[in-house]
Amino acid sequence: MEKNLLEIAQSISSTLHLDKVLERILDESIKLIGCEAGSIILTNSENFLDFRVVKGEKSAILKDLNVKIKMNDGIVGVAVQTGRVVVANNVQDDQRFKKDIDWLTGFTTKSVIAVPVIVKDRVLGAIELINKKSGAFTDKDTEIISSIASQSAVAIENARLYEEIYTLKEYMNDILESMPGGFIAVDSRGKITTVNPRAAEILNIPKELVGENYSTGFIRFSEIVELFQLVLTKAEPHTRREMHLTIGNKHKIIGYSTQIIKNTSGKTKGVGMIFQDITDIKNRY
Amino acid sequence: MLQSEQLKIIYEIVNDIRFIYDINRLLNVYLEKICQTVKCEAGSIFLVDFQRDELKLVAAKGSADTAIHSIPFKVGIGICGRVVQTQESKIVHNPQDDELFNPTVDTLTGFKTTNILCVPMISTGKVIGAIELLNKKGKFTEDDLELVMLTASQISIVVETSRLYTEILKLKNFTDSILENMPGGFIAIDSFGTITTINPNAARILEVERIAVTGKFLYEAFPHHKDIADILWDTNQKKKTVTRQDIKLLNRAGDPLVLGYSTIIIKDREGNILGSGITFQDLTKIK
Repeated sequence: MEKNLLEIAQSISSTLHLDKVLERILDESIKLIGCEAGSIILTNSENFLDFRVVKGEKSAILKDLNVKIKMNDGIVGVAVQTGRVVVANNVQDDQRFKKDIDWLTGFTTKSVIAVPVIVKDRVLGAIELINKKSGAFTDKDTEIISSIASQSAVAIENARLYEEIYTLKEYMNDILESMPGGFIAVDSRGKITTVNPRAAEILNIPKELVGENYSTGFIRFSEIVELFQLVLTKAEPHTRREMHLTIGNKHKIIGYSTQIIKNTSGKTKGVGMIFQDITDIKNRY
Repeated sequence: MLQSEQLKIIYEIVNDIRFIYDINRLLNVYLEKICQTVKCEAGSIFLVDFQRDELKLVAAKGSADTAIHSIPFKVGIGICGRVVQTQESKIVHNPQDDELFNPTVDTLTGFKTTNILCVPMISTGKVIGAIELLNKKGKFTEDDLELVMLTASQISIVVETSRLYTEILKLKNFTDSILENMPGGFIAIDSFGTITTINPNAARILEVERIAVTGKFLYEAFPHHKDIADILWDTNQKKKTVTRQDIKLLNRAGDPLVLGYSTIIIKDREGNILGSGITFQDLTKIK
């Protein structure tokens, strides 16, 4: 059995995809205790409880129903509200048990263990196991599922953090892509971190320059290399200036501003340059 | 087979994790507990520094714990370096006879290593460090190995949490910094039309106060520029972006204001729409 605990621990830490993490936690818990069914329920932003993963004979029906339960409803609600393990070995006589889900799915719940999943002081949800095959849920079962729930809590938190990172990155990318001007950025060590689509278009450079050092990446534009060098060492932004570049075999006038990218403590993390091709405008006068 | 008492210790360790925010303190507490449980004299936890191919000592317990901090550890070298490289746990009963064992550490610290248990820390398929225990009276057993492996995977998750937090912070800073200093204007709304972000240039061009409009419903925020509110609201409703459009507005003084703009849709990883945004530039002089 301890072998299984090790496998669960390793399996939980092996992915950052929330649904996969949950699926593994539930599968292993059901196997380990020997149950007919189970679910992992997480609180959502509207303060309801969602069945995030369900396993068992009637799981497909339950999934289709897309049931949401109130925070304080049923045995699982008690576990989430109190942050304590709830064991009910005879649910049909238990006042806390809500019969409606059985009624909807046609499943017969006999025994339930609901273990809260807690990160720091926040209850994220609960692991619920149903109908242990070999009799009543024991103290040892509580101990084991609690241990799994503790690990799961951190894994769930990680998956959520990862999703936040993903969203933030996409957000930033979308902003950069929609920017009407060209935008290129380098970090404090001189590595190119950003080339937005408009920048690639104006300068006729590939976006794949990201990751290269700016002095080799922008080798065709000594003006840009010198500018980055200056701004990186002096840490002074430039606003609304012009530079003349030869792009392909055409002479172009570029209007630009530079900006210093800082972290919250004010330390310089890099330099950005936003620019426009203003050749046509200039030539009009 | 692990004893129930040992299982309880694992449970306690994981429980502690939930209350300790400082990762270095947490790793030291963990190491202390694991040494107590396994009943060994000394131990260390290393994290891999991928850029330098080095092992960074992040927690140490035992008689040599001050001297050891100045010693460089390399991936692939020594027992621990090899465990990190191969990602396989190892028990060494007679280190002096093991060709991988690096006796210089003992020489430098004055410690005498009699036996070693070393376990890799693995998170999302990648080795991130190792836990090394030294000098158990008698021998390290398979049970000890299993216990340390179990806790190692839990600790790995927490190390990952701390890394993710740092990355989020960095990304937020990067995003904020670019938006703050961007020469163009940027405004974002959530799915309800509430303004979540407006950068200094957007506020200047549209002649509003950033603090006053952030958190407001967009039609309340821009009563003079209903057209801008319409563009954002439309993007939310139709879930379609536009690129490089022009719009003619009047500023508060009644003079014409020409903006070039594009819109974006803000989505999460599952593709759920969180809101939309607009980037724009004052093109009045050019047009």
